[in-house]
Amino acid sequence: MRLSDGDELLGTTILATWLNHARCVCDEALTATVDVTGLSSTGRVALVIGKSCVTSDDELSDACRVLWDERVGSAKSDREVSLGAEELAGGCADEETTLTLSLVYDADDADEWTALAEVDLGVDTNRPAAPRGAQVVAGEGLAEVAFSAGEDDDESDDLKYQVLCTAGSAAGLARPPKAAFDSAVERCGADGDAALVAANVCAEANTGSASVTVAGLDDGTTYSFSVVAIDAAGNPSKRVVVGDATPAPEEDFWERYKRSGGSASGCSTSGAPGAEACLLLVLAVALLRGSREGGRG
Amino acid sequence: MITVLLSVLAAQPVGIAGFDFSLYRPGIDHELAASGATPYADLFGTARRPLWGGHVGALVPLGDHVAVTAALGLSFFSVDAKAFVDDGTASAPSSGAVRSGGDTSLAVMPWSLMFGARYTGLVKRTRFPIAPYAELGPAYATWSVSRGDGATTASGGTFGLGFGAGLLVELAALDRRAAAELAELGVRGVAIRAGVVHLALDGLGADGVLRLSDTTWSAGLELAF
Repeated sequence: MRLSDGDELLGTTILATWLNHARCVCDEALTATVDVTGLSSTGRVALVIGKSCVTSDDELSDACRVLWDERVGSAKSDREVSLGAEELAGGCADEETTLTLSLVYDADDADEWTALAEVDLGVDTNRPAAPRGAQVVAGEGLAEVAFSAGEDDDESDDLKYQVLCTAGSAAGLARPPKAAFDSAVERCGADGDAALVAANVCAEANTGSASVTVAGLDDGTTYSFSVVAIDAAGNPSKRVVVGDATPAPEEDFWERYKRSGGSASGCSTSGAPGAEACLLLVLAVALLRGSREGGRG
Repeated sequence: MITVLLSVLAAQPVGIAGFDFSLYRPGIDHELAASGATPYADLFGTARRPLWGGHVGALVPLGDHVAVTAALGLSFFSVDAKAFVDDGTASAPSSGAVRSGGDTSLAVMPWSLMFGARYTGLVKRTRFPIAPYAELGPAYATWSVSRGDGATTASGGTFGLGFGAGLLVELAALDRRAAAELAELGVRGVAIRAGVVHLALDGLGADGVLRLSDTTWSAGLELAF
C-alpha cells in the first residue's frame, strides 16, 4: 500500500503531521494505491482506520471504520482509492491522535481478516491556544511585538509563533519568513480569518513569551500587527490582533549626546568606512598629544 | 633605581592571571555638566552596571617585602535601553521624551597596561594573608553606539590612565595544605583582589573625545602560576 498526495509519495514523517485542521476542513484527499496482485481472486480487501483494527480473533474491531472494501476478483491490477481527510479523521472536531490505516484481507469470505499493510497517520485537528498579552511598540523602521504563550501552551507542545503585518505588507519586508501555518482560507477558500494568509507573515519566534523585532518597515506608514501560535502540524491558533503602530524616526544615544552639545566625534558614524584605521589614529594622536603636553610640562 | 632594575632582571617572574568585576558608569555626562544636559542618564539611567574583565601578566618578587607587577587588562561594559521618539527638533529633547520601540546601546571595552607594586612582607613573614597593592598605567577604551536595527551609529576610542589600589587576600596563607596541593598542579597562589579603581578615560584632557572616566570599586580572583 502506497499513500500519495497528488504526485508526492508520502513517507511516515509527512504522514505523522499531514492531517491537520486545514486539510480536514478542505477535505483534501489522500490516494491509497493497493497492490492485490498476489491475492486470491476469491477474497475481499478493505481499508480500515482506527487503532488495532484486526483483533486477536481475526475480526475487525468495531472501533474501526471501513473506508473502502472490494472483492479482489479476477482483475489483479492495482486499485487506487481516494480517501478524504475528513473521512480519515472521522470529522474535523478538535482531536489529536494517531490512527492506523490498515489494508486488511479476508481470503475465504469467512470474516477472518489479516492485516497486509499498516501505516500510522497522525491526526491533529486541535488548534493551539492563542498567544496572550500581545503588544506592539514602533521604532525607527521597525516595530517590536511582544507576547506571551497561550494559556495551555508549554514547551513540550513544540509551538512556533508568527507575526502578521498588514497595510503596507510583508512583501515590502526584507526576507519575511516563510509561513509555518496551514490556512484553510488559502488552501480551499474556506470561510474563516481572511487575514490569516502567508503573505502577511513578517516575523517569527520559536518560543512563547517573546519579543520579536519586525524590521524593514517604512517610517510614517501605519501597520496592523497580529500574532498566531502554530503547532507542529501547522495548525494556527486564533489570530490575536495586537494593534497598530507607525514607525517613526528615533533618537538613539549618539544623536541625543550630540544634540546635547557633546563634542566627541568618534571614529565612524552611520556607515562611514575606515573605523578600524580611525581607531588606530585616535590612539596614535592621543599618544602624541600626551607626549607633547608632557614635554611642555 | 639601577639596583631595583637589576633585582627585577635577576628575579624569577611569576605568571598571574585573574578576572575582575566592578560596577561602572561612564562619566559621559560630566562633559556637559555646564549645560545641565545628561544624555547618558536620560537614556540609560544613573545606576552602575557590571564591568567584567580579566588580566594577565607577571609578578616579580623583590626580596621578601615587595613585588612588582605588570599586567594587561581587558574588560567589557554594555548598556542598552529603548531609544526616544525623535521630536524632529535640533534642540536637546526634554526629559519627558517618549520611548520608542527600538533599542540603543553603548558598549565600552577598556584596555589597560598596569604597572604595580605589592607589599608582600605581611604574608611572607607573619603569614597574615593581606598584601596591599597599588598600580597605574596607560588605558585605552574603544566604544561604540548602536541602534535598534543593530547598526553602529558611532564608534571611537578614548585614551587615558588607570589607577588602582587595594588589598589582596592570599588564600594560600590561610590553608597551607590546600596551597601545597594547588602547588602540585602548578598554581603557586590564589588571592582575592578588592580595591578601588579609577579610570581616567578623558583623552588626557583632549577635546572631542567621549569621556568615559569613573571611580569605582573592583573585586576579583587572581591566580599565580
